[in-house]
Amino acid sequence: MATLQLQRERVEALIDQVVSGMQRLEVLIEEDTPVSIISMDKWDWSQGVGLFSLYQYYKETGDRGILAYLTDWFDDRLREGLPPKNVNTMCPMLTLSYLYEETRRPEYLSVCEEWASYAVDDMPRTPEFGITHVTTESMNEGELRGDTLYMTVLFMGRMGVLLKKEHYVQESIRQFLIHLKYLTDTRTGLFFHGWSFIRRDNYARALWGRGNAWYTAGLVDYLGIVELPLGFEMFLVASLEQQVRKLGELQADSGMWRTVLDDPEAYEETSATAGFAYGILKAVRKGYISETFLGAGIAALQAVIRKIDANGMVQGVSYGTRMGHSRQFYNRIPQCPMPYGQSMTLLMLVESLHHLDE
Amino acid sequence: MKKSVVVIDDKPLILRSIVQTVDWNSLGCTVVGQAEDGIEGKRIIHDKQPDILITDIKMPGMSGLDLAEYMHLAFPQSKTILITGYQDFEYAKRAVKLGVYDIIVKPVRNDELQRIIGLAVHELDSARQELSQRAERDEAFNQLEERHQNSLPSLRSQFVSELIGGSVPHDDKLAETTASLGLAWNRCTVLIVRSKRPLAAVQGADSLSISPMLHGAMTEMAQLAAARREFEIIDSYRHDDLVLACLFPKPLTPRELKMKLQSFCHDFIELVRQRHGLTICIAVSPVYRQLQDLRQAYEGASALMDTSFFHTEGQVLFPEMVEPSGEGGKFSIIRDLEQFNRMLEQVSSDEMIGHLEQIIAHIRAYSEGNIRVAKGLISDVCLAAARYYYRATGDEFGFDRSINEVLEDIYRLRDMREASDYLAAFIKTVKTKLSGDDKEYSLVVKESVDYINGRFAENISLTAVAEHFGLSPSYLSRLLRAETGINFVDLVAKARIEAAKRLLRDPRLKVNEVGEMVGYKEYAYFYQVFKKTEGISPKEFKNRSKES
Repeated sequence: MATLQLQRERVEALIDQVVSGMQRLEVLIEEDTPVSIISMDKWDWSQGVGLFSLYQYYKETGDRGILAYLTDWFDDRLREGLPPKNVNTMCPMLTLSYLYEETRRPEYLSVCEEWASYAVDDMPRTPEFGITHVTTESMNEGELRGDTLYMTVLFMGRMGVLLKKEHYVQESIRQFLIHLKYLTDTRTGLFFHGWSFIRRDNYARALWGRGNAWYTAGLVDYLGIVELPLGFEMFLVASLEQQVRKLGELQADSGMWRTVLDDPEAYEETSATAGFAYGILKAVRKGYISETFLGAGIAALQAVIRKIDANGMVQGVSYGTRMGHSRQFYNRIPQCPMPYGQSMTLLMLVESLHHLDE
Repeated sequence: MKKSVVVIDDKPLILRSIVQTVDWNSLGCTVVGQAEDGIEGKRIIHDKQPDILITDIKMPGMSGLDLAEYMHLAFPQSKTILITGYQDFEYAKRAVKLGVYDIIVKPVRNDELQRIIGLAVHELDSARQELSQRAERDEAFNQLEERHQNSLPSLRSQFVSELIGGSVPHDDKLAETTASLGLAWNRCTVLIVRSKRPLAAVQGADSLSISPMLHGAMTEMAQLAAARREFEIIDSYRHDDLVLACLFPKPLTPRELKMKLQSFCHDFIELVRQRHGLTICIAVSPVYRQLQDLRQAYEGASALMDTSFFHTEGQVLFPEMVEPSGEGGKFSIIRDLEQFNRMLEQVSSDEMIGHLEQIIAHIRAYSEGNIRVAKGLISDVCLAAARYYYRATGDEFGFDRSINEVLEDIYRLRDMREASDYLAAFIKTVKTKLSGDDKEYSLVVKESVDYINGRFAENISLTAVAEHFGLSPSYLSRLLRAETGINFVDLVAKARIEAAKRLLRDPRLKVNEVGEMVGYKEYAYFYQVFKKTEGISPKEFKNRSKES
């Protein structure tokens, strides 16, 4: 039986390092996006993931300093004015909805209500009413992507619960179903990066690491956010188990996963590995999947910890990745510390506090 | 403090001489007033309230003797010095009677006057000192007395607790202590007070002991009720129980004692119910004469309290209520149990429940106050009913509660009435489940259910079971549904989930291991079936059983 062999003090020290690393991230490489996804004081998906992990850490520890950082961050962004609404800019809203519950500040709630209503009713849809993966740089017409579940649909379900609007919950369920329908690789139980209703194919059929990790991590949190009908809950839990089963086979000896999961030539990628570790450890703890998968989660956790450098920077994280038209595309994405690398590591470390040998 | 002096003389020369030539300062005196006649003198005395009066006897208006009398009456501590021109015995005699301090014969010699005033001052001082010392002594005494009174209740409690605990001092020491604590008794008895039903809000879930928080308030109520009946309550605390010692100062007859105690208990129970919404019961010990017997009295009350399991009616237990052992006790019980088993199969649910009174009475008699015996026998009755159900249906898991849960329920029963209610409900469940038109399962169904319950951990299929009994699968399926009301798959699931629930309580087993042990190879499938039947996931079930 795999055990963690970690002390609480050690994990807490790592958490502090990774948090301060996240807050000190600098743009070291030439970015190809219109808005920086590295710098922490911008409003986009990459920062949103980091905020959510900080929120989870706050809930775990009750550290008021972290809560203050989060509310300050949102207050600054709200003062500057928010960016146009799309799948990716929706991401920080999940955290804001929880901050509303912490602070009961009406301005938080009204922003959340406005954005949730946009996601449910006005966001561009593909055929079959999937949410089109519109981003700041492109309309991506007719395109479904796995990240949408994490970036937008979690928030949608969450707002259905918060506002007691059942049709928000139903819409989040429908989005999960259509994404799983078009993105599941039935041969492996893993997930493709995207689907195009125009091309009617899955592009390069790439089983991209981080995209899969967002599914694992996001799904576990979705199950915790929304009380689902048992039939649908079982559908998700079973899909999760299929995915994790295959991941177990593909995990490298190092405990890492590769950026293209089934390509032995691809490099080992840290953010995906951290997301898988978080999702697997939490799914086991919550009883969604069998404890036989605990070992894979712990091996991944230990591998990620080895990627944290002395400055708290999580190394080996691939830069933001667009839809690739070939598998080689993914292999050529550069690696550097990124907010989501920090934050997925942070989610994982916070979760590991539940698994210490105490 | 300087002494105040008033000088009165109708001869101005003498008056001036006294006022001006005596060295008042060195005597520690001040002249606060002077007068030349008795009437004016009396007014000044009245105004100035002097410590010392020096007055001539013969004066117009009022004589010096009159003034001396007035002075003595108004200010008993004061000193009066008379000045007289005559050595007159009669005057002297009267003066002494009036409490005059001294008499000086004219002509007044300053040194003599000064000496006498000095003596008077000295006497005034020592009298005053004595007075203040006495006041201090009185004050100190009062404080001690008060402190003693305040600590008396806790000292009494402590003393009585020691007696109840069994540490009895020598007779001399006992007499001394009881005297110092002001304890008077001629008869004594001990009461144990408990809550009749556990009040989760007030105390620990299962405890019937009175919460220590209520201890003080309840003792006060008891003391109030006792004072009205001319006896005293001293509170004590033993084995978490509120224990009250009752001391009766008069030698009462047993009948009088019983009446006093009964009406006291009635009042006390009512007071506690009104003030605290708490239903209490009280066990009263036999009455003793000696405080040395409080230990024995406590043991008597304690034993009596234990029998409350068998006495469900009243809230007050008196010693004579316990049936003397042997009388009414029974030597045999198996015959009753066997008869009960036969009745299970032969008579209706209502008749069974009618008969329950009798079996409960027999169990009570046989147990002779031993709770463990009574609960053991009640368990046997329940198990017999469960076995009967199994014989009729072949289904070990047909109840909502598993056998271990049933036995735990019985362990927790608080009195025979609860036991009786529990048995009635249990028997009713068994009979109702079987009565589906009073029809037992047919042999095939019985055997099939038993077969399933014995093999659910294997990959068991309808075809295999049907083959085993030489039947067609569709026929068996119809048969099962018709008689049990659920289909084959659900029968298997029910058996598996019941078994899983027991296994999940075992901390050594992991959830996925339990799933596999009861026959679910797929974790997700186990999760689904479990959540469907129990409403929570197996992991949540396990976590909850850990907490409880």
